[in-house]
Amino acid sequence: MSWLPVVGLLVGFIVIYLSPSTIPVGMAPYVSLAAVAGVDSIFGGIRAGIEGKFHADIFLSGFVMNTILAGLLAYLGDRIGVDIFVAAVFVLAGRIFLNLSLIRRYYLTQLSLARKKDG
Amino acid sequence: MSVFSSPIRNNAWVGPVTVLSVVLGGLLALSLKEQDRFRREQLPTTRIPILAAKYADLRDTVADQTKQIADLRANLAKYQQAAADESKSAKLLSADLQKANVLSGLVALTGPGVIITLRDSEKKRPNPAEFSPEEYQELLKAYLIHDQDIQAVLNELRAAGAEAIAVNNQRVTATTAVRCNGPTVLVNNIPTNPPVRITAIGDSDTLLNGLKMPGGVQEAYTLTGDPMMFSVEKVKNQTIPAFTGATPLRYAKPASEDKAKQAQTEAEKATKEAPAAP
Repeated sequence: MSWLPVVGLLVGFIVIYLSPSTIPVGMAPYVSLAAVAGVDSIFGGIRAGIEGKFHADIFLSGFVMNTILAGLLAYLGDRIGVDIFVAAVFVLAGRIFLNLSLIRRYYLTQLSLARKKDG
Repeated sequence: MSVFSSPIRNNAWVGPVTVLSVVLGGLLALSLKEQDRFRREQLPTTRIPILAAKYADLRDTVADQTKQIADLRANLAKYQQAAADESKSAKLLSADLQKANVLSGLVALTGPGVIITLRDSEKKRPNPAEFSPEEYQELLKAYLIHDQDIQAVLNELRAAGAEAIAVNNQRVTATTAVRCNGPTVLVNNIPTNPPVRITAIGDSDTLLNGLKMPGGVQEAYTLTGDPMMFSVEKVKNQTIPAFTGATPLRYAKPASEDKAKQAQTEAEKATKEAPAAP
């Protein structure tokens, strides 16, 4: 079951990559930032899931709001000359690494538990 | 029992996460596609908004001015038409003017001729590590099309009787310069890049023979360089665009009659005294 998101990611990627859709040149950095915010939300969701604290509504709204807000804030920052873009990347990347390490720890714990059972 | 299929406390998260993973995949694909495009076009991403705005401005200016020139030319043609309708002498003048326009490149022309294409060589370049930077620059010259290569072709075409020539659709006129401007070549002050397509109207066979004669333009590529860099084909019919730039002559003006006569006698004298061709 836990591999389903990976399949979803690949499907979405391939469909959009092969489709002729493009975005205006000026929008490109903001879409990239939105993608990073999306990565953060997904890992946040997985972490909440394995900790048993997952709520679909929080997850869905978080994903939508974070991606849109990240893009909009970066755009606003560019317009008023404040580099919110860099700040957003900084915060998001920090959270992604934190969530990743927690997910890794969880599965490692599972693995060692399973080994103990076998032994 | 594998770890990954072990009962996770609550599997409800897998569904929503999968759905949004699809969306995320799409987002990632979009930005990757865009970044790939930038890399191909070698635009630095961080400066894209500035460059894009500048580019749009310049493109609009060029479009505006090209349209202005076209409008003015159309007006001029109307006046000439009106003048021609007025009287017979004006008709003669108008015919003369048309002839002058044709010769000066202000009218698009159609006819048979040749198309020459000059390309940068696609052969493997030498390894820069084996040479000093100066030597490497010197070696690299043989792989690239330069302004001299274009000039050599233009000269040969004219010698073979070409009546109208264009370089990448820039009409070659009496005031056209072909010169090097760092990484690009300027023709009529408009930047152009290889592949350079030179179109010429004239007798196809004569033009072709002129280019292919021993010691001529093509031989330089077939003997020492990469033959792929130079290609030429005959065409039955092609149209060469009119010169679209401005044509101000600020210093030259028609000579007075006696001065013209004097220059003519001097020219005739020079022709008589010229050494006979060997």
